[in-house]
Amino acid sequence: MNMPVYDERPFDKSETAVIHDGQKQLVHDPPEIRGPDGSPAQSVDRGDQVWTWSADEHLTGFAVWREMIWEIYSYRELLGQLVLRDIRIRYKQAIMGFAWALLMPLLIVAAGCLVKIALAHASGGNVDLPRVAGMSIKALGWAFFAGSIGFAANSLVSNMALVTKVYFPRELFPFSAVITQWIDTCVGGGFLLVLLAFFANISISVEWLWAVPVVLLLVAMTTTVALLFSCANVFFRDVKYIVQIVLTFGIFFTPVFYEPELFGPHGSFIMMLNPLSPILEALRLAIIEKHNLLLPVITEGHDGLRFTTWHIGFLIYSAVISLGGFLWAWRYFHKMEFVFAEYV
Amino acid sequence: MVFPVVEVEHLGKKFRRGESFDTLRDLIPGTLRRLRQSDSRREDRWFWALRDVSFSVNAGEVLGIVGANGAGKSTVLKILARILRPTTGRLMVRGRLRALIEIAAGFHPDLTGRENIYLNAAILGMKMSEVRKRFDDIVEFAGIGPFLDTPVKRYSSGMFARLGFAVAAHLEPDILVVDEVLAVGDAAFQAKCLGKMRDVAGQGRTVIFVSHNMRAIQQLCHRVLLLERGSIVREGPPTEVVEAYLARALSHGASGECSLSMDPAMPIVVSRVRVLSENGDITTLFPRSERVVLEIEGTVNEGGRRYIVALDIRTIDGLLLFRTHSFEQPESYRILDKKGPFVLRCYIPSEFLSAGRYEVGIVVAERGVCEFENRHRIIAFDVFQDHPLRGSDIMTTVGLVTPHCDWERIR
Repeated sequence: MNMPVYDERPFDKSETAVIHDGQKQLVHDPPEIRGPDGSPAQSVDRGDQVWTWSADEHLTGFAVWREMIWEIYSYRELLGQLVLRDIRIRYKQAIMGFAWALLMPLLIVAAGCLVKIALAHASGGNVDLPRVAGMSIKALGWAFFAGSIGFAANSLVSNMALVTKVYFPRELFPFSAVITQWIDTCVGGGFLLVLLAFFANISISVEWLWAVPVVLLLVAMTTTVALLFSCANVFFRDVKYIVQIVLTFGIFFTPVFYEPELFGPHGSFIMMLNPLSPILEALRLAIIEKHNLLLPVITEGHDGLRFTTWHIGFLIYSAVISLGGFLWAWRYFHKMEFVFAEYV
Repeated sequence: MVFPVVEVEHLGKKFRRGESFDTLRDLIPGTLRRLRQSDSRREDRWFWALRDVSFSVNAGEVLGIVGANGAGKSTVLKILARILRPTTGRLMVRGRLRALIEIAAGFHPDLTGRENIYLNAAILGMKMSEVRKRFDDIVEFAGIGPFLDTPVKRYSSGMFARLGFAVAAHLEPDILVVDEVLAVGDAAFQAKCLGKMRDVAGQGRTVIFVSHNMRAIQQLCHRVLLLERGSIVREGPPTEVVEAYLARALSHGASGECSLSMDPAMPIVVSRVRVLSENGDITTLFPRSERVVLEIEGTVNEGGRRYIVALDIRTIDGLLLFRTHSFEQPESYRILDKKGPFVLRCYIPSEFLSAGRYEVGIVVAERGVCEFENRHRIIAFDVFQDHPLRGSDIMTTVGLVTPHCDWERIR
């Protein structure tokens, strides 16, 4: 059998230096596309720009961001279709249909109640309803985080056929995973609020407005981790086991079933270093405790020591990490997405 | 006005060969090993799938890309489709480019036909408003009407392929890049796809078409590139390039000669079959303007019987195009009734087979008694178009064969 012999000589960069001058080749006035007989070709999409595709990324600074955002915007319909696909698949074969979305928060709340009752027994106190309510809000937040990550981490690998055959921004996969989970969470959240209003007498208050920025931070945080894990999973196949471990044990290192103040002054501070903790705590404080997040919360420990368990600084810390992380992770993902097809 | 809508300059693509780290577990020892090795050894792991490829495509032009497997055709397409980033060089595209590398990639088996049409259209870059407008056309083209709300996992593979192509066929890009999508489905479906491709090309759209189907290439393309080991080795009109490609491919492809090992005790034995040009050289490459000569050598061991030697001409996909035999004219079996060695020649007329590859099978029999031998695919030969096709010629070379039919006006 005669195997072709490839010339292994590395390609001399200087040979190609003449080709691109380092300028972004956005030609704003494309010549009109015409048929061979001179008539205008049908359906020329004026929205599509002239694009160039070269060895090096020739965009820098804000131009990259403009391109990234523009790409997602122009593929928004595909994003919608992918979300629709994932939702349909999730509920199509399930016997319970949309009740499935309610099961997950219910289970977590049930598990949390169990933990709370056990704790109450151990310390000889009573199970207090606001604590259970606060825990269920945090559990819902955690369920959103964990569900999105678990789903997003495999999103690129399981769509291998698409990644190697069709072009579109690959961000759509982790994004659609997060959005799908978000829709699920909204259904579960609505259900949970009805339950809370009924059993725990939770009513609407002005402090609920805090939930809006806090939820945005939660989404940013989740998307950051989703982008990074889905990308890493393409290059290293054992990442999915790491993801499983992180999701299984992460709940113990995040104050979901307990409050950080249980750990005393130093412990609670260390607990808050997990960037997810302030976000979940803020959700609980704003929705259940109706606390203005700008004001600190000072708790008295068992030994009579008073210490700060909530400070707006915690939330700022989380905001910096999740928003900064989101921008960095998206940029990094965008840079790497062009080699996905070679690795998947 | 002629201007290029696709410009490719010095495109190169390097791939990693051999060791790559699939798991984090392998990464650490692998990195240590790499550090110990010299730079020169590390370069061995890369090979160039494409090297310094430059071409441009004008608006309204249909460009074909041919080449053996591994020549880099798919890499070019994937770079055009922005799936792969080039290692060197640059390309520029003016207008809406859509690549059909696989048409059913976006299908999800659990979703219904209707849902999949929307999903796949979105994946191929169609606007939802367009899909809604053309939805009925798509369903009609695919012919899946009654099964629209059935999950596609229950579809037959033919329906699946039809649905895929139906969605793709209703894209209206300025530049269409097509890989071997036509290779799926039955002959009727392929004909439908080719027809659609011809329509697209006829509307003045630009098409870049990669195929192993030389007949399709010759019928559709205005210009063809021949890739070999990642470089363009030939560029020009289809006839010329296809001939060059076939000549190269056949140098290690089918041979024009085959020795049959029939039982020598048979009443008639065929020992050898050859394909010849008209001046007697063994060749497997024929221009359409020349006759194909098939030569059969053998021995008649028992005389006076009515032997028939028949040749089956099949297309590469196994379709029996026709059978021709030594019994064609009355009394012609007499050419085989004498005892002793014989050499027969069969002439396939010129301007009859359309461009493409054909396989020859042989049947040796006695009329009304039995078959002594029946073999498929003993030799193969290729026919190419040797004069450029013009508009009116394209009409005549659409089918598998182009017999000379007489026409007259009687009223």
